[in-house]
Order: sequence, then structure tokens, then C-alpha cells
Amino acid sequence: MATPTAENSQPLAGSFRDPSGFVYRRDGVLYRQVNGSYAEQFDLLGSSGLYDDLASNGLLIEHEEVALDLRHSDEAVRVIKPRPIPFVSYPYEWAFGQLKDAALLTLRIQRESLVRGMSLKDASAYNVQFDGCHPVFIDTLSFEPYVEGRPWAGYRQFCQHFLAPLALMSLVDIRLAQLLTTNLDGIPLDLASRLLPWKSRLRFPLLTHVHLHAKSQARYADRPVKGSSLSVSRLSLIGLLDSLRKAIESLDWTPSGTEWGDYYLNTNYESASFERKTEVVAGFLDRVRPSTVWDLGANTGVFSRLASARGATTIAFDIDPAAVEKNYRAGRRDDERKLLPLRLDATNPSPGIGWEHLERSSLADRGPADLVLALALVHHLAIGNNTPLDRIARMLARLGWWLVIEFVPKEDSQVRRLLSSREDIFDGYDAGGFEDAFSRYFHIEARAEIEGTQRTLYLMKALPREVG
Amino acid sequence: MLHEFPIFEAIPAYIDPGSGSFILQVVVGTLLGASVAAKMYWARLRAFFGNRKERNDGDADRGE
Repeated sequence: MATPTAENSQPLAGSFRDPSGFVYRRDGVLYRQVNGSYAEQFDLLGSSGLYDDLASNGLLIEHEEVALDLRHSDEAVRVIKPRPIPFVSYPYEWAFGQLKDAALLTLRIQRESLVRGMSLKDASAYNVQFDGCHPVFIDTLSFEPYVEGRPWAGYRQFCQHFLAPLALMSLVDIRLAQLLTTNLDGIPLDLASRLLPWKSRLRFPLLTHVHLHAKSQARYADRPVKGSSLSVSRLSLIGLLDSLRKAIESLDWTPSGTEWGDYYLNTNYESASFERKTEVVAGFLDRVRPSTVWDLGANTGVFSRLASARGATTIAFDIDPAAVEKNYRAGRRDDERKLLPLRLDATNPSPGIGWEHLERSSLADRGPADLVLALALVHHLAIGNNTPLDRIARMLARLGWWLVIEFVPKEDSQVRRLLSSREDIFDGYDAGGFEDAFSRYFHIEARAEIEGTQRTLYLMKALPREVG
Repeated sequence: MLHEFPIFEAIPAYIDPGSGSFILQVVVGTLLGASVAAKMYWARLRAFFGNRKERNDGDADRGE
């Protein structure tokens, strides 16, 4: 058994399934060790020209080989240092378009691998990360030599991680994306088959890759097919990949009927007030100069872009899949590298899940950010979710060192709308109560009224012991 | 497209490819592979006759 060579070296909790190697952090730097059993395959990635081909096209994360002294354990024969991705996100936080682009990336890589005599040995959606709005394959150890006749080991995983959830989101309900939170190895195909509408059987790719696939799994479950004499030719694999690509491309989802999709057209913001709000938020950002910004309740990312345009790695979270989708499409069109839109319910943020609760990190464990933007959010948490103001302050102080927050009072039409169908039990919900609650966790650095509205913007700095 | 190939002993995958997934892949892959092959031959056939036609047209041009 290998022994750790350094106490300051810690494997990442989600990197343990593949015996080829794993990712670890040493002195704060991310490395990936290649174990002896995988050395030949790893070398082929370089010598076949596949690495250069994929990395130069931005499809595979770039890495440099570093000294073996930096290994985590004695099994290592190579150590590589991948270019770090600033924020790790998970498929259950992605918009429809993000999962679709990740699927197409995986298929493209598998197709190019076949051309170079290699093949992907898995097809996990967790092998893809987003560098801003640009999807990139991060698992450098996923490649193996292609053996003529051998089937694609990642086929089942591809259908579960990509095809089934995209079909459900597109043809049934976008909210079914949340099934990915409870199914870390993708959506079981029998479940997808049962949930999809009958008419999905009329589409040949869905009929085969989901419905018949599920039936075949049920029929041959736990039945070894020893002695069988079937194989899959390279041409068949290419046909299979093309069919999967067409299946993915044919699935679409148009954000409409959104909760907040038309928010900016439908608020009590006059354009002058909107400009004033933009000016104040920009001023606060210029004062703090954060390198990481989390925008909670970002909608389609109008204010997130103030941060990303200033060079901050900005994550634009919103609860509404339509807003996230619109934000992502705009970011993809503009090839945004600093802005990452993600779906998140601030009242129920992504938990730590998987093995030992650590395999996929909670939102808080991926922070703290330098600065949290919470614009037009507090009333949803306080009134929409009955969360006391001091709990909101405590949560926001865990997530970031600095806070730009907008207080929306009861007189505001948006709050009146929230209160229209319920009893007002929120006696302490006013500017005084807000400042008192937040002063327990933050120092208020600046406040600015937004003329033409009854709203106030605050810049706050977390009291040191509360962060993280 | 079907070759002698012992299945499970021969798939050294670290994830379970699944018996049912494998069998379906063989069946569907074979069909799709045949369709890729048919398209390739069709394209070659069209290119062949296309070229011949082009050459003939070219000859005709030169003849003018």
C-alpha cells in the first residue's frame, strides 16, 4: 500500500473511483498523479497526438508534467499539473444548455479519440467543467487505447448522465434536472423510460438509447453473457456516436413563461433608477476589487456582468432555470470566460453529497467568495421563505468576505406582491431591523439610496470570525 | 460486422458497462454501422458519377 509522501498533500474527496490515478491538492496547488498501471495509456494520449489535438482546441484541460517528487503516493509514475478551473460546478446546477453542451463535448472527444486510436473509458458528466461559459473536459486519465471490436464502456453512463436527463428536461419538465441531485450516476434508464411521454418512442434515437436500452438492462440484469461472440466494429461505434449526437441535438428547451424572465421589464424600476443602481453597484465593486464574486439571485446576469467585466470570476446563481438558460446562452454567444451561470435555490443551496457527504461539495464548501452580491433577494428570503433577518445575515457572512446587498422595504411593490396573499407577520422587517440584524455579522461600510425607489444598497464587510 | 469476441472477459473497464447496455450497443451499433457504411458507399457512388459527369461536361466545354 502506498504511503503518503507529504502531510501537506490531500486527495480530493470526489477523486477515488478510477485506479488510474487521482487528483490531490498539495500546498494549495492542484495535481493529478498517474499510477503505474495507467502509464502506457497516459503516454499514448500524448504520442497519438490526441492531447495536442484536444487541448489546442480548448476541448481538454491543458496540463504540464511536473517532477515526480510532487507525487502524493508511491504508486505514481507521472505527476501532472492541470490548469485549475476557478469554480467547480455540478450537473445538477447546470442549465439545460450547459448539460447539452457538455454532452456534445463528450461525444466529440470520443469521436476524435477513435480517430487517434483511443477511446473514453467512461462518460460521466462530472468529467466536464465550465470555464466561464466554455465547457472543457477535465479528466485527463479517461482515455484508453481503442481495441478493435471492443464496445464503448461509457455508453450506459452517457445515456444516464446526459441523454436521459436532457430528454426529461426537454420533453417532460425542466425541473426534472433535479433528479441528478439524487442520482449521482445519472438517471436510471428504466425511470427515464417510464417518465418520458409515449410519443418519445417515435423518435428512433430515444426509442433505442433510452426505451430499448432500459428493457435490455432489465432483461440481462446480472446475467453474464459469457461465450457470446458479438463485438462492435469501429464503424458501428461511429454510427452509435452519430446517433447519440443527433439525439442530443434534437432535444431543445426554450425558456418561456419564466418566473423572472421579464423581470427587468416588469419592475418598479424607472430607467434612471436602474442606471443609479448600476452606478452604485459598480462603484462598490471598484472599491473592493474582488477576484471572485457570487451573485445570488442574478436573474439573467445584468449585474453579474458588472463584476465579470472587471475581471472577477463571477458565478451568477438563480433559482429560475429559464433565467440561467438565457444567461448561459448570452455568455456562450459572447464566449464569456469570467461568468458562469448556475441554477441554485438560495433557500436550499447545493448540499455536500456522495461518499461521506464529501464527493460533491456543498456551496459553502466551495467558498467563501471575495464578494457576494444579493440584489433584490432579501425580501424573497425573509418574506417568501420566512427566514429571520439575522439568519440571512449569518448565511451570507459564511459565503463571502464582502457583501453588496439591496434592502427592499415593505412599501416596495415587489414586497407588497409577496404579502398580497398572506398575513404580514414580519414586524421587524424594516430598514432599522435589517441594519441591526446585519450588524451582528457585518460592518456596514456604505449605504446608498436608489432615487425613484424605496430601496437601499449597502456595502458591508464581514466581521472576520464569521466568514467561511 | 459481427466478429468472434468474448465479451465480458475482454472489457477491462473500471466502471460496469452493464450486460444489457452492452448487448443493446452491439445490436443498435450494428444497425447504425450498416447505415453509416451505406451512406459512405452512396456518397462514393455519387462522387464517382458526379466526377464522370463533370469530366464529360468539361470535355463538352473544351469541344466548344
